[in-house]
Amino acid sequence: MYYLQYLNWLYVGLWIAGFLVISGGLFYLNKTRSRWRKWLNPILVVILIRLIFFYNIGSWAFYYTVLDASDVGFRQIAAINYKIKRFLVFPEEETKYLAVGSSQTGAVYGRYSKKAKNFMTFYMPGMGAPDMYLYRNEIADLKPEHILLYLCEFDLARQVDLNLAKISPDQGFHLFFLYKDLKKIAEKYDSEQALKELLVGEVLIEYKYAYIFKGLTNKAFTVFKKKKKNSAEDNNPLKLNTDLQDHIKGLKAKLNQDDIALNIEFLKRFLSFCRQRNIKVTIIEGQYHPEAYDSHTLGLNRIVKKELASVSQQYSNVTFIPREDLIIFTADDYVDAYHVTGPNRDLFLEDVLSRTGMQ
Amino acid sequence: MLFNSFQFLFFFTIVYLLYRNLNHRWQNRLLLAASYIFYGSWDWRFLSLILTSTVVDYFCGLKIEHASAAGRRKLFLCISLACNLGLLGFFKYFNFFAGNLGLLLSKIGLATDISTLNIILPVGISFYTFQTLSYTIDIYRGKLKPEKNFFDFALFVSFFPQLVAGPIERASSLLPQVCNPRKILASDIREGLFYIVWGYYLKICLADNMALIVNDVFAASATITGPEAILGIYGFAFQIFGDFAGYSFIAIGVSKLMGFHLMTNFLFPYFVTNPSAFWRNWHISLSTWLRDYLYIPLGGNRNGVFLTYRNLFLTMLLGGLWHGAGWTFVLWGAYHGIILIIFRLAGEKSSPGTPEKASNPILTFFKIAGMFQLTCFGWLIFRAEDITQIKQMLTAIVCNMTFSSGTWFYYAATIIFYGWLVFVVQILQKKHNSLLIYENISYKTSLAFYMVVFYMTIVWGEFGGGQFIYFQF
Repeated sequence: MYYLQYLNWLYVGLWIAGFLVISGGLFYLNKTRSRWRKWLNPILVVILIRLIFFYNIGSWAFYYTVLDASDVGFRQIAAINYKIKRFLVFPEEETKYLAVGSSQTGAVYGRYSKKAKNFMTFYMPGMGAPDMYLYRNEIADLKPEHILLYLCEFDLARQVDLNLAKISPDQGFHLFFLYKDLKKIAEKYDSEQALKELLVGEVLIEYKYAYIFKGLTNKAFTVFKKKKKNSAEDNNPLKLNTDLQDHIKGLKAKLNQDDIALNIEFLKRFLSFCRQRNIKVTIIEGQYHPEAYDSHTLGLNRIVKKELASVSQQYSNVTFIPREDLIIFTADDYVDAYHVTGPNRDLFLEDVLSRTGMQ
Repeated sequence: MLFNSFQFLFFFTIVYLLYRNLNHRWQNRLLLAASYIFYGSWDWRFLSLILTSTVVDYFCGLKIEHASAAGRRKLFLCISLACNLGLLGFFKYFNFFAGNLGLLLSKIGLATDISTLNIILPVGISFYTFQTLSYTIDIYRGKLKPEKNFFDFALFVSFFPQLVAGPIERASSLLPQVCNPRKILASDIREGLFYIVWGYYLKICLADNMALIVNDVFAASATITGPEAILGIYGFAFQIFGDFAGYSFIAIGVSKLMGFHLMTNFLFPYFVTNPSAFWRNWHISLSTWLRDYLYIPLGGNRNGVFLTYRNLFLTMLLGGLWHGAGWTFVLWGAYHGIILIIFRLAGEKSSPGTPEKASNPILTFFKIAGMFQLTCFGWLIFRAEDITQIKQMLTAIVCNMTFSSGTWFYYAATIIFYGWLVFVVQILQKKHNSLLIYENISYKTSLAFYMVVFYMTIVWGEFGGGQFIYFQF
């Protein structure tokens, strides 16, 4: 209901017109028993179904209301949320500052964005540089003047996951330009199947968003099944220290120097895109649990920091703020290996806001 | 290269585009090359086996025909049998027999060390060896003339749509289609596309979604409840039907697009009232092969009641063993042999070609439901990893019929959700005695059918590239 005030009424009008035209066409074809009906009927029926289930804010709002992360996945529920926003027009002052990134971004900026009138977040669990690029149009549609990125080796020394890319928005003809790089990723990470599914999803929207309907049926079928409660990202502290150690181990295991170059390449594309649209970008060097810092992660940090500093020199719209220039989070600030919820978060935010001129 | 893979779609598109633009002779050469590429995509080493079988049977066929002495004819038949059954026996059953022999010897106090080998089971070996055996046996029986063109014969053996999982074609049916120019009619395209679409639905939507339930149930057989066990078994009944019938339909459909007419392999196996009828509706190409090349040569039903039952039992036992080198398969075959005998003793046997007698529909319903339970009990034996698992499942059914966990509802709802369309289609097919339902329904119903199949497959299909169950045979 909150979003009704931002509804794109022009789109709504076009949708209603389209619905009436297609329905009318179907009615006419079948009433007059036109000789074209055998061919046109299936096409019009498919278009009508797509209008109702995929190009209709009401449907997306329904999916978002009924489903949750345990039904479809954290990333998927965030994708549905941003799909709704594509039907909305936000006043430009509300999206002047936009924090983009993974769930870490949500943890750091989420609470502030709810209070601030000119600050919004655009985050998705696991969002990396390639995902930022794939979501560039959705980000640009919010018309931000200034984007904040929270990046470090945690994001940029990580394997690119094409399995998540396949639920990203349609790339249209741009896919032809992207294909070579996506193929490179698929070959490097043995995810050819995910690439094929991404391509099929570009053609068949039903396939791309199949997870929604599978989630709905799964939810209906498991109505009597007792569910395990999922721990929310920044609310439930880990119960035992052993969980934290496992989480830290998992974090470190995902980081690899070989993955940096590909991630930086996509980051540069995203920054170029922002530059073309006169969007300022501030890259704030990210942090994670101090117990995860060791020779491996600090070695990666040196490489990534150098890359980020270089990128800020290359792109006139980009500023880089290394972590040493800001408040360093302590172990008490973390609810797990990388999500910040503790007391220093507010101090950190004040620091960021004053440095970026947002305050 | 699985049918439900992008590689196969790409492969077949290329082959078909070329095929439609070539004359008969070049079509055959293209198909032969494509068939070897298709088969070699699993493991190029398997090609040596199929080539061996092809060469041996080609020459044996010619020799049998030209031999005047009965002894020489029998010799070449034996060579063909030895080669094909030898290949099958070695690659499929060596480890099974070696392992069991070692176990038996150790049980009687003879300590021995019989090594098993690291043998890879070549895909489809059970299918093409039976297919080529039917060729040499039919020549020996005087029912068929040998094919002189080696390449046409090789295509008969290796024809890719039906190479790895059937239908097991007879030479008298398929060879003439290979050797003579083929016409592709508009009706063939329509039928072919229907079979392909329906086959993909059965595999991707029904079978692969049932597999998720079935694997869960059988993985937890020690701790599941009775309702979960029952639903898991029902799920497997639909999984194996969807998987195998789906593959057969795709094979038949792909062949139709190229002007080949393969035999129907599945009809309405879960809408029958007795085991004889089941085997006339399930894996028809195998059951007829076993009838013609095993049951009848053993004597069939010509030598009295006891020998008839013996022949039935042996045929089903070996039919079970054909499915796999494992005691559960043997037990499954024996089980079907026993219920066939029991039903015969009870006087329940419908002859082929005669329709089921119109009887009280309620009684028929209960007979069908009862036969389905018997079939499912057989599937339990077939699917279980070992006898222990069979016991666990049965214990759950008998001693743990509790509905307290909501999981049974999830399984039931899933089975109904993915199975309802198959149920409806089978009813329509049986009612009109035709698999091609579009011939007997209105245009709007036909459109609705294709829309439902399209959306169910695209949205709810499991595209994980699930292996076809029968590939392991």
